[in-house]
Amino acid sequence: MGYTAASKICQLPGAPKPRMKKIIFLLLLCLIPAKDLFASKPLAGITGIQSDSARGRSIANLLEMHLYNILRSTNSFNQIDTAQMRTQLVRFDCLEDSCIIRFARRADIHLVLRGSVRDMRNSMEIEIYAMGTGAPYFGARIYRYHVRIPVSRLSLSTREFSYICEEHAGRFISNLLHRYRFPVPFIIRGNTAVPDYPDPLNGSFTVYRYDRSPDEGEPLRSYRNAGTVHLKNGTIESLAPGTPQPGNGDFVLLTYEKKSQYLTDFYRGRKRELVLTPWNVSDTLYIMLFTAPASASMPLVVPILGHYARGDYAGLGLWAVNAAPYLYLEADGFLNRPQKLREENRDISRNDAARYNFALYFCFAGGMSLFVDAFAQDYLHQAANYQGVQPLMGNGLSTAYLSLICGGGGHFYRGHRAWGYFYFHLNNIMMYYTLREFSRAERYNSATDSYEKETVDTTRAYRFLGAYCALKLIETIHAVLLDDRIENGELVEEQTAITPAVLFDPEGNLAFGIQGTMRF
Amino acid sequence: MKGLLVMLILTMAPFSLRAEDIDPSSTVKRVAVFTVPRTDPSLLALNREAAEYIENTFSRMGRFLPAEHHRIQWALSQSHTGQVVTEGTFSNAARLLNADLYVVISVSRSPRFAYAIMEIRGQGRTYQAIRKTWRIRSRIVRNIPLKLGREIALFHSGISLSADIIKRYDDGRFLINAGQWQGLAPGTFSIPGGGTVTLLQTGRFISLAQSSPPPGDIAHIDFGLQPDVDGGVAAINAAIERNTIANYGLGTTLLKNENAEHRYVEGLCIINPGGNLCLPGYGAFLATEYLRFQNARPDVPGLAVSVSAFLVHLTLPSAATGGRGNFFPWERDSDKSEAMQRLHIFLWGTIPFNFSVAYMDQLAHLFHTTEHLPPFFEDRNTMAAFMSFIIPGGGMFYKGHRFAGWCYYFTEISLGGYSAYNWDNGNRGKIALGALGVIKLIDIINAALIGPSYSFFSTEMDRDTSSVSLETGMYHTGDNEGVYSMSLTMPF
Repeated sequence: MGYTAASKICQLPGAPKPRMKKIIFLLLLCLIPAKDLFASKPLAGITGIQSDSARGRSIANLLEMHLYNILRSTNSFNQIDTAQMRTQLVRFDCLEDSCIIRFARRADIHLVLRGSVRDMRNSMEIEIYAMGTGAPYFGARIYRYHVRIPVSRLSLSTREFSYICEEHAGRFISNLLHRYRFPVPFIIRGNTAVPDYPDPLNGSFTVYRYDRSPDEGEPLRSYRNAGTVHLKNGTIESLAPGTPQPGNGDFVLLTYEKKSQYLTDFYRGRKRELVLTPWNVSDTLYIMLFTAPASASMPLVVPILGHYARGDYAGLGLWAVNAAPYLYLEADGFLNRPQKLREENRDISRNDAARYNFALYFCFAGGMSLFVDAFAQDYLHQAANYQGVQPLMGNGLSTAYLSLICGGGGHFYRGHRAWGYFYFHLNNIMMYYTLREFSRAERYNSATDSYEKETVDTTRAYRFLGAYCALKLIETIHAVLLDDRIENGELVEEQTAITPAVLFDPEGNLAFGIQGTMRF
Repeated sequence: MKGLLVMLILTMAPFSLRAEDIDPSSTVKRVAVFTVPRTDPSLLALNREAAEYIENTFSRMGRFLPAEHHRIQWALSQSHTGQVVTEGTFSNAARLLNADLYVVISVSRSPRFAYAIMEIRGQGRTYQAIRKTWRIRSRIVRNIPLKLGREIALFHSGISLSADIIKRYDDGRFLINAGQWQGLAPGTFSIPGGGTVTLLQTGRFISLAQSSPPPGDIAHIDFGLQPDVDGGVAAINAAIERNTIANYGLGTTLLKNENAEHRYVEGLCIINPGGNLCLPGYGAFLATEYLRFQNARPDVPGLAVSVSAFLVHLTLPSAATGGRGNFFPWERDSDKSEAMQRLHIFLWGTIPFNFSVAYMDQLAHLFHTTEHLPPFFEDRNTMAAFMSFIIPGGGMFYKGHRFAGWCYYFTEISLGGYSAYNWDNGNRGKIALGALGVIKLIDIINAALIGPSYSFFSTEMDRDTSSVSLETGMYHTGDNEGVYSMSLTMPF
C-alpha cells in the first residue's frame, strides 16, 4: 500500500519500488505531526526557500528559520520540521509547485510555504508565497509577498540580515494570517455536533456543507453556505433561523485576523524599539531651538549637505522644482522690503508688504520643512535598513510641532514625501494670501512727506486665517496619525495588469475589450 | 518505544488514496524543457539556469505547465539510446511525457559572446504545426536566460485561455482543467460566441463551473483571456536592463569603489568649467579623466566644433562690429548698439553652456568607445529630460546622440541670441523667445523619449529578430566516429 502512495505522489510510471519504500518511510517520519489521532490545528510546512548565490543562500536560511519560528509563535499551526521536509523533497526531486501541491494534498498538509531569494547585486529580491490544500483553496495560492531589499552602500552583517529577514517573515505571516481560512469540520460527539478543533471556538460562524458526499478522487469539492451557527466554548449555542443542524463533514472557516493584527503590531513596535530612540520631549525642544537657523540656512544646506552629500538626487530635483517659487518670493521680499521702499519714498503695495512678511516667515520657519525632508529621508532610510539607532526620529510631539510651524514638516519628518510637498504648497499658498489680507498698503504723500495706510477688510482676513488654522489642524492630525516610514525594502507590485483585448468570435467577428490579469 | 510503534503503524497505514484520483496538474497542457548536454561546467550551469528561467516564464504566462524535473529525467532515460543525443531523443521523451510542446535549448560560447539556440516544437494534433527557432546572443551570460524567457513570453501572444471539461456532474456543474494558475478566479465570464461560464470554486489548476447555456457535448471552453505578455516582457526587460547596467555602468566598473553619481555631477559642475577656463575645448576632454576612463582618446571633430562654438560666443559681437566695438560686454561704446550689447551679454553669459556641451560631447564619445554607461542610467529618461532642461541638447548627449545634441544646442543658442538682439525690435524678440520655448520643450520631450544610442546596450536590449546565423558543430559518437555539422538559421 505504501508503494501506491509513493508512486501517486511522484507520478513516476514504472518507478523502482524499493526506493519508494525508503522514501515513504522517511516521509512518514516527517509527517508524524499530521497524524494526530485527535483534533488538530492546521498542519503547515515550509518546503524551502530557493536561492541563486552564496549570499542568497544565507538569507534564505535565515528567512526559513524566521518563518518557522514566527509561525510557531502564533500557536495556530502544527509544523513539520523544515530541514527534514526539504531534504526529502530534494531527494524526491519534488521541487515544482505542481508536485508539492500533490504531495501536500496527500499528506494532509494544509498550508505550504515556499519562496526564493534572488541576488541582484545591488539588491536582493525575496518572494514568499503560501498555497493551501483542501477547501476553500484546493491548491491555490493564498498570498504572495514580493519585496526588493537594498544591500548596496549599507553596512549589513549577519545580525542586520537576520533582522531584515525577521521583519519580512513577520510581515508575510501577518498578511497570510489575515487571509487564511481553515476549515474546521463538525464531528458528532455523543449526539451533538461539535467543531473538531483543539481550542474552544467562540462567536458566529457560517456553516458550509459539501454538495455531495466525498467522491473518490475528486480534487475539488463544491460546497455551499448552509447558515450561521453561534458557538460558545466549542459547543453550539444556537443556530440562526433556517440553519440545519450541522452534521459530520460540515465545516466552518476559522479566521486568524486577531493574530494577524497582533503580529503586525508586535513587529512594528519591535522595529521602532530597534531603530528609533524612545519618545523624548527634549528632542522636540532641540528641534524648536534649531528651527530658525535650519530654516534660514535651508537654501544652501539642503541641496549641498542634505540631498547631494547623501546621494538623494530625486530629492534634490524635487527640492529645486518645489522650492524655487518660494525662494524667489523670499528673495524678492527681502530685496524690496518696505523699509527700503520708504527710504526711496516709494509706495508700498499690499503685495510688497505681504512678500516681506512671507519672506520673514519662510526664512525663519517655512524653510524648515525642506530642511527636515533632506535629512529625515536619510535617517529613515538608515532606520529601515537597521543601520543603528537614529536620533531625533519617530517622535509624535516633534511631528506635531513641525506640522504646526511649517508646511508638510510633520509629513516629511515621518518620511511621506508626497504628502509633505502637498501640504508644503498648500500651506505656503494659504500663508501668503492670509498675510496679504492682513497687510496694509502704504501710499507716500509727498506734500506731507509721510505715508498713509490703507484699510484692511478684517472680516475677509479672519476668514483666511480661519481657513489656514483649519488646514494646520488637519495637517497636524494627519501627520501624527501616520506611521514613520521605516519598513525595510520596497514591495514589488506586479500583481494586477489591465490590458486591451482583441478577440475573434467563432463567426470570425472582431470583439474589442479590456481584460484584467491578477497574479497570485 | 511508543514513538517507534506510532511510526510503524503509520508506515503500514496507507494514505487515503483513491483509484480514480485526479491529479489536477496532470490535466493541464504541458511543456517539457530539455537542454542539449554540455561538458563544460560553465555551459552546464548556463543550460540549467536557462531551462529554469524558461520554465518560470511558462509558469508566469499560465498556458503550458512545465513538466516536473524528475519526470523529464525519467523520460530522457527511457528515450536515450546510444551516446549521441539527437532530436529524436527529445521528441520521444516529450511523447512519453505526453507534453503538448517541447523546448530544446542549446548554449555555446565564443570569446566575446554567449549564444543560445532555442527550438520549440508542438506535439499532438493541436500543436503539431508549431515549429520555431530562436537564436540569441549576448555579451552578458546572465542575460541569455532572460532573453530566451522574453521570446517565450512573446510566443504566448494570442494564445487565449481554453479549458477542457474533465468531469461532468448530474446537476449540470462540471470540472475544467484551468484554475488560479491560468489566471482564473471565481466569478462569471462572458465567453466568445455568447453565453456565460460561472466559476463557483477555483483551485490552482482546476475549477468547478456551470455555464449558461449548459455545455451539452462541448468538450472545451474558450475563455478568450490572453496571458499578460506585456507585463511579463516588461519585467524581463527590466531584469535585462539591470544586468546590463551592472555590467557596463560606471558605478560598477571604473568607479566601483567610489560614488559614481557624485563624480559625474562634480565633473560636470566643477572640474569641467575649471578645465575649460584653462584650455577651452581640450579642457573638456581633460575633465573626463575625472571619471577614470582608461586609454581615453579625444574626439577631434567634437573638439573642433566646441572650440569653434566657443570662439563664436566670445568674438561674434566684436566681429559683427568690425572689431571696433569694445571686447567686453559690460562696456558699451558708440560702435556697440544697445541690441548688440544685449547679444554680447547673452553670448558671454551662455559660455558655461558651451563648456558643458563640449564636456558632454566628449563624454558621449568616450561612453561609446570604451563601452560604458553613464551614471543615473537606471532613470535615463528622467535624467535626459533634466539634462535637456538645464543644458541645450544635454539629454541627447547623455543618451549618446551627439549630432542631435549639437543641433539642439546651436538652434537654442541661435534663437536665444536672436531674441536678445531683437528684444526691442517689435515682436521679433518675443516671437523668437516663444520659438525657443517650443524648441526647448521638444528637446526635453525628445530626450526623454528617445532610446540610448549605445550599441552595446542596444545589443542586450533588442531582440535578434533578423539575424542569420551560421552554426557549425563537431561531435564524437560512441564508436569514436567524428560527426561534423553545419547549419544556417534564419528566424522568421
